[in-house]
Amino acid sequence: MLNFAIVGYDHAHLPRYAPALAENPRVRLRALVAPGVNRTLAREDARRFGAAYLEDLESLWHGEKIDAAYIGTPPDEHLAVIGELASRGVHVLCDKPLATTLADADAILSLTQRHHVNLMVPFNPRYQLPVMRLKAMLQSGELGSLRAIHATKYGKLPSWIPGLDTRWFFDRARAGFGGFGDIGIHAVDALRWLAGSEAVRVYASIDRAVHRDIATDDIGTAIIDFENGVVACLQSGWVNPAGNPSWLSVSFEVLGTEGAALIEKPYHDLDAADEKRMDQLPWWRTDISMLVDEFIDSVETGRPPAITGSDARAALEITLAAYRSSETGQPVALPLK
Amino acid sequence: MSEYRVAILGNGGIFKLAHGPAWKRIPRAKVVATCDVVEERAVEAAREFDGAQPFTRAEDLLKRDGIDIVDICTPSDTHAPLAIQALEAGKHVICEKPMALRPSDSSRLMEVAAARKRHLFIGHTRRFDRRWVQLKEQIASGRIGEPVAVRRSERCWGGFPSSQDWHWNLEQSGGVLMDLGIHIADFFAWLLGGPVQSVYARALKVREEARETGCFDFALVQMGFPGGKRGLMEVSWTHPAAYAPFYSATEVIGTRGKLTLTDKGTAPLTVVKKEIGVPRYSTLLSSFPDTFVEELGHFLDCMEGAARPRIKASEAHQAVRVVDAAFRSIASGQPVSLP
Repeated sequence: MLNFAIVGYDHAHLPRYAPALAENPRVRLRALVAPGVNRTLAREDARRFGAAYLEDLESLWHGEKIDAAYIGTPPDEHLAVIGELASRGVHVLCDKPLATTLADADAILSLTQRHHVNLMVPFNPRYQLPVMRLKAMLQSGELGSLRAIHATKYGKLPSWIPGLDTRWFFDRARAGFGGFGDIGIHAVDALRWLAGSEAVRVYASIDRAVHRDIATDDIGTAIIDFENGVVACLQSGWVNPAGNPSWLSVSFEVLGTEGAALIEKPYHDLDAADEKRMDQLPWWRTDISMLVDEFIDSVETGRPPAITGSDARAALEITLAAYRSSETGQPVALPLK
Repeated sequence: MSEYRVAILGNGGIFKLAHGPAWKRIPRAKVVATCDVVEERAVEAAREFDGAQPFTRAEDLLKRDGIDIVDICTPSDTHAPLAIQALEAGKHVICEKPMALRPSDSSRLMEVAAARKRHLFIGHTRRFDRRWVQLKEQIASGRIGEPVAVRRSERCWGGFPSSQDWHWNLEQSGGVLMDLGIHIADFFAWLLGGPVQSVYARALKVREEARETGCFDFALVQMGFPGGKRGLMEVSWTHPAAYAPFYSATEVIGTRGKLTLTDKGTAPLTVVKKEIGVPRYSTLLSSFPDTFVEELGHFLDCMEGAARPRIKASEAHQAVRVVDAAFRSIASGQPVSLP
């Protein structure tokens, strides 16, 4: 049983992680530390989940010993928060992106290593059933040798999330990226994972093209070369219209020498229509609970988590390289210099 | 209504699949001559049209009187030279895509057509297919706002090209990029309404035939248009055969909405047989030859002054430039700017 805290109530994934943690039989959700703009929601949720609501991180050390924390602050605060948590021996489940710069990411990695705490970044596709199945098929050789992946990942505009103040998403200094990186970094990690190889080259074009009234990019298109010869393309961003039947659209289309596989959606769902709209409602969604379980397993057994800080750093590096490519109009070689 | 006398050069794949059956359904046209380097093919083709005369050499055919239109269905590398010969012989020309394998050739072809004052139509059939025409109409209606990103995959699932097919000769066909990519290059410009400014491409040789011939059979191409608009294409001759003979998927993202069209998602009929296998979706989806009836009929309308060309030779030339840029990008590893 782990004493858990949630630090920051800013990330769009919080409405899913907070209940997932509260409901997990191996978790005692002790506190929600949320001094930010969503404090009212955090206070309500704290009451709902039987946890303490705290205004600052300092107060966290006055109660019972905290074993682990989910970090849902804007990413520019990750380094400071993880510095504080790691030095107190708290294991960290930090939502993506790990940081806004590689220097911050490196500092986070060395901090967590020095203090011997686990660091995991929950990239959802790794625990989405069709993606897991695809990875297993690639590993077994059922599709022959992997040659290419065509991926898309689209979401709606974060400001449309009801009840959550998400203004920081539209400030690149705080978020690290706009829509391409926000949505796409999940797929970038999945591409690297499925390819089973490191990216060596990225070409991307990233713009604000869909929404007129935001300050960041909202769509990006990238072609990524991997060391083992796999080529991948990814288009992602905040491009789903308000009326899209699902918030997210995800596809991974894979070509191997012995077969192909098409993932067209991340979850099993059903269609529900009324007089106004149609919704695709997932009836089997495993990613959040499995990510939480994997993190807890890793902490309890003292092993590295399935998605490590190095994985998160690699996904960040590829994503940053895509932005650099878009800014220069040239392909960018990895690792970044 | 006048009757157009048509001669068809090349009596292989696309003739049998599309042009031959389509001409039969166009009453104001009459096929009077066929021509193929393989004599039996020309003879067999001529037999399908009452009174048509078979040839094995284009030069001989072009000397024959009583031909108004030459329809070119030969391997791609011969398109431009044959079209130029036909124009210089005073014929109007309908030519299968690609217009040429090199922009210098498609450019020259346009000059000859202009100098000879003859019609030159390039068969970019996607512009006539009701699926994609409807996409275009939806965009024009304003439903999705301004289109900003188009993504399209065209995959031949292993059956095509067969091992001995001329398509595996890069010098003859331009490979999968020229064969399928030329369609998409034109399609993107058509939907986004702008010229391609930058091209970045990666390509693979996956099938044994590809590795043996050095002809790419898979490619990803990213295209930049003015104002942050973009196109992303995947073309493949290398997907497994069991799924469908041809599969395509298109997505258009706009400022206020999104259009998605896949062969699988749109299938009104799915066929499943006793053997274990996957359902085949494309049975009713093939646009052959209806789209070609529409396309060829439209070209005749244009000749009569009853329509303006839905695809201009200059646009077909532009598509050749884009694919040529993709080849240069693959070779250099760098993006290519198109002035």
